Parts: sequence; C-alpha cells; structure tokens
Amino acid sequence: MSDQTHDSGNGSEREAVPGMPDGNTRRGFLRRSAGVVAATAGATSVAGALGGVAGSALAATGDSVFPGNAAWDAAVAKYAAGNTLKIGWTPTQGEDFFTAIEHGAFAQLTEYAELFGLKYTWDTFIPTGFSAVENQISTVQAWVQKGLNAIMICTAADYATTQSVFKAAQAKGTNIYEVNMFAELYPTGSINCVSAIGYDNNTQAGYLAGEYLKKTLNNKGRIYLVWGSAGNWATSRLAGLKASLKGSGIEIVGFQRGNYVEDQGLAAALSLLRHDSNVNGIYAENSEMGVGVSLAVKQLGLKPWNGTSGIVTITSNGKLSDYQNIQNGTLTAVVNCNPVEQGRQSIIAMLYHQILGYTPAAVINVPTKVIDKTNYTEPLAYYKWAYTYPLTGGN
Amino acid sequence: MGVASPGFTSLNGWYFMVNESVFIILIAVGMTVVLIVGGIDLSVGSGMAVAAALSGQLLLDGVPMALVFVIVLLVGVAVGLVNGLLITYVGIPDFIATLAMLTALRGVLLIWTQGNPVLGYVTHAYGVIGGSTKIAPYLTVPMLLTLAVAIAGSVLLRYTVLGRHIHAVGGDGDAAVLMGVRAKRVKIACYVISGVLAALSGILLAGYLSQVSPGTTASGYELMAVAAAVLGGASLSGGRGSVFGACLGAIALTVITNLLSWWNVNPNWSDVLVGVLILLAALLQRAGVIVATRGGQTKRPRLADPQPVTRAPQSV
Repeated sequence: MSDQTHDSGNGSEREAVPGMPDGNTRRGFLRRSAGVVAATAGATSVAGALGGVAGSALAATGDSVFPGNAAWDAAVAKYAAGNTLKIGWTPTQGEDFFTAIEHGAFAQLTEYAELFGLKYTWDTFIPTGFSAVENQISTVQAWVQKGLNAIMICTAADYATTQSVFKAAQAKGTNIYEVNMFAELYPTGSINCVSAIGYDNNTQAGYLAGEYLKKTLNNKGRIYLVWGSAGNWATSRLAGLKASLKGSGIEIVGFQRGNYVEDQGLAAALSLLRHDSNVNGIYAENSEMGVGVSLAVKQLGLKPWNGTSGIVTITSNGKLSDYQNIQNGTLTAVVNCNPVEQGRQSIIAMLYHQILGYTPAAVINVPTKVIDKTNYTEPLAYYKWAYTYPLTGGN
Repeated sequence: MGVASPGFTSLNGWYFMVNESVFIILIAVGMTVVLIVGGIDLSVGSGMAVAAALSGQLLLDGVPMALVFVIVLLVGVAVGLVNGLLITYVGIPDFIATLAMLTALRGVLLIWTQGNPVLGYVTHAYGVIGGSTKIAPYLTVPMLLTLAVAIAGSVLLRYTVLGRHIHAVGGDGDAAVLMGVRAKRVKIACYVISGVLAALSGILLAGYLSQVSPGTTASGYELMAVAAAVLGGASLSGGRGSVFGACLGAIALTVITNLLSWWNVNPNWSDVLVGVLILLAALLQRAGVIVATRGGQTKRPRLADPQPVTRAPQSV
C-alpha cells in the first residue's frame, strides 16, 4: 500500500500549506502520515517522505490507517463536535527544542481543526530552569483543577513523584502525555500516562552517536564527553553510547559536565582540551553544550572535522541552530531527536484517544537519525515547515 | 599531572581561566556592593540573559553596535532601579524582590523569544568585544573592561563618600540614617550598579558565546556571583566585602572546576567542593566576628580613610 493508493479518488484536496514542498496539501500531508502506518505494517515504499514518520503512533497501536476521504472526515467531525481539547504543555525549560515540539503540535492541531472542525485551547507553562520541577508539578495540579483534559509534559522531576501526580491527574479525568522523556528506563506498566511520546535515548540517541563516531573515525580514536546534569536522559544516552563503542577502537578519555548550557559546555570543553587536545571527537549530550564545544575547538585554534581530519563534534537534539551550525561547518553532526514529530505524534495520540476513544500504544517512539552535512536539508525543511504554524492559545 | 603541570599553570592556562571568569567577576563586583549595603541581588543571571538576548536581537535588527550597548546598559539601569525602588520604597525584602525580578525577567525573555535562541548576530568586532578573539597575546577586551570595573569598584568603595555610605548603611542602617545618610538612595544606587554590571556582563557574554538561549544562558549565575563574593570575604549580613576579594573568589571557582577536570575527578565533586569552600568562608567570617567582639573591637569594616559622613544628621 502506498500513499498514491490513498490519493486516488479522494477528491477533497485543500489549500497548499505555506512552507510545504510543491504539490503538498494538508490533505496530502495527512494521508502521507497514514501511508507510513501501512509502510510500517508491511510495505516500505512511502517511508522517508516529508510526512513519512507521522503514522508511527498509529502503527504502534495497530489501528487502521486514515481513510483520508470526505466520509471519514465527516465521521470524525461528528466525534469532534462538542468536544474541546483543553491542552496544557509544560517542558523542562524554555529552549527551542521544546518550541519545535510545540510547533509540531500546532501543525497537527491546525490540520485537525481544518479537517474535523476540532476545537482546542492551549496553555503553556515554562519553568525558569531545568531544575525548577516543583513549579511544573504544581502547575499540573492547577491544570487538573482548571479542568484541562490533556497535559503534555516533559519534566526532570523525580520519577516516583511525577507518577503519583500523573496518576491522581488521570483519576480526575486529565490525561497525561509524557513527551521527550525516558520511557525506556522504566517498565511500561509503571508509567501513568496515556502515551509516552518520544524516542529511546539509549538506542535512538547515544547508540546512534556512537555508531556515527565509529564510522566517521574508522573505528579508531579518542573522544571526550561533555555531558548534561546527572539524571535519566544522561544515564540512558551514556548507556547507549557505551553499548555502541564496546569492543571498538574508540576510547572515552575524558568526561565533564556542561549541565546542558552553552557556557558550561564551553568551560568543560576548554578544560578537557587544554589538558589534552589530542582527541578525535567530542560528544556533547545536547545542542547548547554542542555550541560550547564548537566554540572551544575554535578558541583553541583546533581544526574542526573537515571530512577527513580534525575533531568530530556531535550532539543530540536536532534543532534549527544545529542545522545552521552543520551548514557553517562548526558542528559535525547531530542526532535528530525529531522534536517536530514528537509534537505531531502527541496530538495524533490525543485525537485517537480523547476524541475517538482508541487506546494508543503506551510508548510511541518517533524515528531518529544522525544528521550531518550530507543530509541536513530534509530535517531543516521539515523544521521550517512546522514553524509556519504560529503558536496560539487555541481556536 | 596536576596543578604543577605546565599546561595548567602556564600563562596560557591562566589566560583561559581568567577569560572564563570575567563574566562572573563583573556580576560578583556588583553583588559585593549590594552585599556590603546589606542586600542581595538574585536577578543578575536573568539580567545578563536579557542583556545578551537584547544585544543580539538589536544587532540583527541593524542597530549600530555602540547604540545597542547604550540601550542595553540603560535597561540594566532600569532593572536595578526597579529592584531598588521595590526594596526601599515598597518595602519588599531584598531576597523576594530580586527573586521576583529573576523570574519575571526570564519569563519576559521566554515570551519575547518564544524560547528560540538568538543566533547569527556575531560579527568579528563583536567576537573581539566578547573575548572569543584576543586583542593581544593573553589579553581580551573583557579582561581589560573587568580590570577597569574592579579598579573603579575598589576606588568607589574605599575612597568615595558613596563608598563610605554603602559601608555605613550595610553595617548599621539605623545609625547611618541618624548620621544623615540617605540610606534609601544609597541602596538604590547599589542595585543600579549591580544591574548595570549584569547588563555589561550580558553584552560581553553574547559576544563570547555567539548564541543566546533564552531559557539557559547565564542560568544560575546569580548563585555563582554570591559564592564568589562570599569566598572573597563579603558578609551576607552586610557592612563588609571587597571587590578584590570578589575577583579572587570568582577566579577561585573557575580554578577549582578546571583543577578537578585536570585531575579527571568526577565533576559532581566540583559542586561539593565549592559548597564546602563557601561554608568554610562563612565560618571563617563568623569566627572573625566572634574574635573581634570578644576582643572588644568593633565589627565595622576597615575603611581606608575613616571620615565622618558629609551630611548633617536629620532632625527627629
């Protein structure tokens, strides 16, 4: 099955979406999302298209694909009528990775509003910092009191605390959707949410970075790690990296914390490199620290990777700044953790669960990929497309 | 390996550590002034972030660099002024007022930028100003500016009327008022100084980093500034502190982190060590005060040239 199959006989094409490649319409976009469900279920012909990852949540549920015709639109619209999705969104901190998730969510909400007349409201709470978790928890509790029926959350709060708060919220009718968390570290049954939408930090971030380093450095070399604050993400990615490098010729020869921010990433990398600049690569666990690492390489007059020699700098996130830095040669590669897709998948799960009454998969992982100078145009275009959907308070 | 190894103690090693310290030194100088007057300014980290983002955005908008810096410094003045007015005239405790400002400024920044980083504003000239490019061997513009600020701060505190008033208000506010010191104005001036230095540090940091992330840039700097000032001998109960000490405190924080990295010690120990050092500094201060009290000495700060304040006592 392919999305061409779905194109035929549809007859309900809508206006083109700004920023989308020529010939794409919102209807076509939605169908491509569905097309991947089919691809995941057996066929592979449509994977990799612009919307080629969008249906993975549905695939994970085992649900049928979007029919993609006017009859189905009308049927869903009947469910949507009279229902308002009252959504709250709270990320760990204010940074563009989370803004990209938000734009992805709005892209999908806009699509659904147009196709099904879906009504929604949108509340956002951004804590002052990564560690300001108490404010997030109290905000979730306030949103439950306010009557929100869906909360998307990414938090660094203690796991047991959050799960008890989530459990209480769901008991009062506020569904929780964990976004960009670390579901891989806990038994699926212990997570008190409708779905945990994200990626596997171990196998889909740390491991991929290790594979890239091995491939780029011909399985031989010395690397430094500039890591974030101790916690679940850091633990999981490190485990993935080590699993990949085990038995290889790549040796981790230094480790410093940059606590997920630029200046501390810079300080950590300067400290490591001044000690010994005879290294072949540096893995900064997130983009902000990656910026610091790149600056350290520049400040010390070291040579960034040019395809054959120099220091490979790799990070994880997949943000606009990463692609710009790859473009200008200051960053070698980034694991695209697909923030836009995480936002879209969250809304898809919400539609299925809250409007249509389906049970989505407990864990919905979006596809990830290492991006470098050879392939950055595709994720960059997707990122920019999502940003054409403005953030609003609802419709 | 170790502190004695050439890489760490070389001129080049010190250059990097000092260049890394200047952003903290600048706000630590402001923090010292505020601590001496008996207050605390927790808004400096957010003030730096706003200044950094504003600098970058105004440059992207084509505003001439000199004008950008003037505007941003004026924003620093405004932040300090609001802090000072809230504390002195509205009566909000220093800790609460500046904590509220910390949160509010970061919030405004996040709303304004929608969480997106400010990128692509750095020119070669701004890189030089920010210290990512040297102007001479082992010398950057922020180093020179920081040296100038440190000298000016020392002169202000030791040799000017305002400096004596700052010590007097911080040492015993009621007595200072009885002696004719306009304590509220003095306190406001201290917060303005802190706000301006935070803005200056933010301007430089934006040039140094080449990217400003609204949620994370300069996050937690306020605590590092307090730590540097306390390590440098400033008293949290007011009346005592030194700009020179704050500079050394900030550099010490950087050296500790670098040293532990040099020794390949688990980086979490860096936080532990800094915490222990702050506690030790506080205990030493306390012990010093106790000794002074037992010896019948005053705990007033030592001023270079003790003189009576210049205003006549107000009538009561």
